[in-house]
Amino acid sequence: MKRNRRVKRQSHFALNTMHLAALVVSAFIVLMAYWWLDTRCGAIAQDIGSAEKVLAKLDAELDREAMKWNELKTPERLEAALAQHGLDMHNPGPDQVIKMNADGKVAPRQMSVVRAQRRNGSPVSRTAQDTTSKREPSLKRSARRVVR
Amino acid sequence: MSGWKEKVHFWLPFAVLALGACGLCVRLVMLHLDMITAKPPPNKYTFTRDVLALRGPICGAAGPDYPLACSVKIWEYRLDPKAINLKRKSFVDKTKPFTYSEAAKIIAEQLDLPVGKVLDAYARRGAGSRNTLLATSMDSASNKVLAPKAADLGLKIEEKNIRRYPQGKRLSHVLGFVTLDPNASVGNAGIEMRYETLLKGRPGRVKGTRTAIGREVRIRRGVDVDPQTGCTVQLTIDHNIQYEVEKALAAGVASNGAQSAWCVVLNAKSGAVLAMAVLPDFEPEHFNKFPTNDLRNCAISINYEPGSVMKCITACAALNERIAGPDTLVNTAHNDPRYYRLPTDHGHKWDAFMTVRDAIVHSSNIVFGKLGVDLGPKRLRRYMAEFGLGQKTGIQLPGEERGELPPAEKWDKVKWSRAPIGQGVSVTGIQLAAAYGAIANDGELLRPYIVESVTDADGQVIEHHEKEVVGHPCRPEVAREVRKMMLGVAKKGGTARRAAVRGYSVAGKTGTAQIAYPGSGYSGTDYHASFVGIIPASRPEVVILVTYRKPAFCRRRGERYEIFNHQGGTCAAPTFRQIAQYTMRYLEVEPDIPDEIPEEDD
Repeated sequence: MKRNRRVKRQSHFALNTMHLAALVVSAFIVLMAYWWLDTRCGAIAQDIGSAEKVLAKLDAELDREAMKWNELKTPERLEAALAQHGLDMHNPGPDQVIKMNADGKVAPRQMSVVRAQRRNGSPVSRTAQDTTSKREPSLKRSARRVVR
Repeated sequence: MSGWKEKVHFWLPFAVLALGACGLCVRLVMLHLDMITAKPPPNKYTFTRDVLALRGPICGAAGPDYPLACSVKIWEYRLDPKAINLKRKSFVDKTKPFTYSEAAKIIAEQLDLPVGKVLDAYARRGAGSRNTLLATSMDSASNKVLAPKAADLGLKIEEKNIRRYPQGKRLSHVLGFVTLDPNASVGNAGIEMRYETLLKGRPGRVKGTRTAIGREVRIRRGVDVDPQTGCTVQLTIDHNIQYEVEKALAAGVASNGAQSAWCVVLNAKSGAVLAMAVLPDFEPEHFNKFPTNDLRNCAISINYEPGSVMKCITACAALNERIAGPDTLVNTAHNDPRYYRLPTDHGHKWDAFMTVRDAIVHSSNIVFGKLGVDLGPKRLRRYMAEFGLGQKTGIQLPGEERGELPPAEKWDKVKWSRAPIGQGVSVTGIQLAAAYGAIANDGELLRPYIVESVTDADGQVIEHHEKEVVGHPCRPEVAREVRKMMLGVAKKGGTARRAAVRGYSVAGKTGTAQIAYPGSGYSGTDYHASFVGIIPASRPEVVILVTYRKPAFCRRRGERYEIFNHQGGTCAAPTFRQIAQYTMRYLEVEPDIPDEIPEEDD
């Protein structure tokens, strides 16, 4: 019986030691994992911080470049640049543009066409007053021709 | 017994661990619910930093690609002569000592300054010498060169937010300006002032801890609120039309010798302001270097007697009340006993009778004086008020005047015949343009607006403006008829032949108003010369108002002085023509009279 008891005690002791060792090891692993994660978090936070700084710098740089670009493309600058290179460029006037319909025919009543017709000796004469009076109904003249 | 002990031995560590975990959980919950006020660490390791928000941009109708005002970060370079490190060796030749001249040369080269100026700053002694502002720069390349050498050069480099206006003086009176303190700029005029609360944005804040060497521990940031950029204000202004208007106006001011000038271009269909120019202008970034008078937006903040441009409103009233028609004949006799002290026509000899249409074309004071008397002060005033005179238009700009339109009871008999020709009542430029907008828009008075929309940094629209009808001062057919009557003004025999635009019908009216001075009455030499035009008259697209203040009355030619262009038809009409020509072409408006080409053009 004694023998058996001793064996039992030994096994009990062995079990406890094993447990304790496992506990210590797992605690150590948890600690190490925590420490590693904490360090990683810190490092990532620093990386994020520096990346944010770089982003802010690049944003500011972009704003500055956009500003320079905007200052360069003001109409005065463009005109000065054109003049510097001797380019006399203007938008075409309504008498220099011929608009065509989808079917390839020249749209009616265009200044350019009228001018061309006039040069060729087929003038059209209509005044602005005629145009407006044709398009819009005239005022009903309630006021009679009164002499004041 | 042993079994019990064994169990205790077995479970105890787990119980301890579970207890610890529970404790952690409880603390976590308490932390999340803010139930613990953590004891702050020593001040040395904590910091609070405000992060300035960028002011929102202001852009024109073209959108954010063409900003008219925006904020950028720049570097401010200040020099402290005593901080220069002369113990180090030269940057170029390591064997030679570092000198003031070398430092000055490096700085001058990078900041594009004369070397002498930098040397002077190094030589300065006395109050303020340790913080001499050398330059501000947006150039990152020079910053990259100077930043590593700053300590040795005695340079202090600070990053600051400043407000920039890439188009320079353009639209300065509309945009306004901000105070000069770069870190606390506040809008003080124009759109900058009107939309201050929306433009300024919301500053951010960072609260955190740092290590003993001053490095921030980011993981322990307590508060981290990002700054929010201000809203974007989009105007209805088209920068190309604005440029053309300012150019034409500047040329007009120079050729007419005017003291100042203003011009408003309105979209006739919506009431949107396409351009608003005032001369003399100023640089918003250096507004403090300009006289205070130059900072006023004369188009909205100057009340002036409009003169003959008021006649179209009188004509609308007369036609709407059926007192007269376009072809009603009116006696041009000045000494008509039925009318009290009529205005004169400055020596012009007319036929005995004149139609109302011709009275607009020739700008007859007598005819309109009579029409005004026939209308009576109450009705005339009511029409003027219905056309928006005497009250603010409500445009989104600060400092708008309401004009002067006294109650009809206060009008004396002289004023009965003077108000119809634009004397004794005052208007602002924007009011006048809006009133003509009503004539252009078939009798619908629209509220002029200059701000299209306001959007926040997330793109959400906070404010939006569009066409708003505020009244119907006259019947549509009356407005159309008055427009037709105005066609003759820009034709042969009219007062503003120089306003004619090839291919387009122009309905306009000139105005040459003497300026009244308190005490001395109307000046004989100082005028407001105006022209208001609607183009094309048949289907109006834009309304353009051009006004010159005090154009040169006379000029010297050889030995004698001669009367110079001081009238609306001679000084404002050509400017109108230039602006209208460009605007029609730019907006791709089809010519409404393509077949009517002036002979001189052929």
